[in-house]
Amino acid sequence: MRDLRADLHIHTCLSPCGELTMSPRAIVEAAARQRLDLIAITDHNTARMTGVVAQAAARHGIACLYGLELQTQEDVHLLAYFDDAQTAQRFSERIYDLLPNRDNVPEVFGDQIAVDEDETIVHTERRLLLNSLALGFEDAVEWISREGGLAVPAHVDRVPYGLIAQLGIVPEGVGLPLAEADGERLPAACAASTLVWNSDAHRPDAVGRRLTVFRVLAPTIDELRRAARGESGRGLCVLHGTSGGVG
Amino acid sequence: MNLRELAATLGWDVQSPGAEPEGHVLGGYCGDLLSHALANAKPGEIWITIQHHANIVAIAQVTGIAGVVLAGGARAADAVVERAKEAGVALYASPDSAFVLCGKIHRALAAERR
Repeated sequence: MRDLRADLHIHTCLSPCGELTMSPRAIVEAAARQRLDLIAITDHNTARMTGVVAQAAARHGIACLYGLELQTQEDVHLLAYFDDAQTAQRFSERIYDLLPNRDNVPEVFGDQIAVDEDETIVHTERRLLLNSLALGFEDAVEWISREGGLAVPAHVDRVPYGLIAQLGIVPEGVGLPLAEADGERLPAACAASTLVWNSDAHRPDAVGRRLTVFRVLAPTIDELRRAARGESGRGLCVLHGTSGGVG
Repeated sequence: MNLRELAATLGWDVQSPGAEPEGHVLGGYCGDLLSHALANAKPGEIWITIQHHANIVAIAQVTGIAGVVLAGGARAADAVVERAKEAGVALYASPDSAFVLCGKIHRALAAERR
């Protein structure tokens, strides 16, 4: 069993709200300073940057899950995690078609730039990523599960875009083993889930500011699910990182 | 004016008739954030929203609002309509935007009070 320091909600320069300084190199160096063992890139409605960050992270011995932060039809932010880059990429390409065909206005929303490991711009995303998909919350959760992924509602206690703000209560019959919150504990409506903390970093010095330590056998989605259930000595706890990073 | 009359006057499509169509409509609440509706919608009010997630039925039950009218051509899926029928929640649909609906409802209720 290992204790993995994990920050599973990090934006890159591809998210319009993410700083341009959020390159793979900057993110991974910040994660290393915070002694993180596991990270996930979760840009708005796209997994395009997950592969390049995973390559950079591997060189620092940091494991990755491949994620996205979906915005469902009801304006709920929902994190989706996959074990491998291919599944995440395929999922990402399919949900792209469910985004409204509205152009980004960089002066208003921010730039949507994809870069490689050397911080060279390789793509400028034209379509606004920070927008609601034509996909309902329950359908999104089911789709993620069907692809072998893990769905975790993001900042459930935040107004707007948190699950509870948008939908008032957790929809009936939806199983959510983990739920992310800004607060010290989950709202009563989310009592069936286990609390996780992540940074939701949009700039390098925020990476790992809030994190979750998972006691698991390996950095996989299946193990995170087992940790949520407290199975066979597994478990998790939430933690504040070092403010501003170490060194 | 009761809910049935209001719906008929404004030409709404009835998705679920609700348990109390004769109940008087006491006012309106407009918004799509369900947590805000849960905290602020009052019994007897008509709720104008584009939110057609199944949770609107639960929120309607808890707040005791008179009924829900889906604006801007939004329509509840069959499963949501079934749930509304089971719960006795009145559910309507209108092609009017939320803005226009609010205006029409406000005018209808104000005319009655004069």
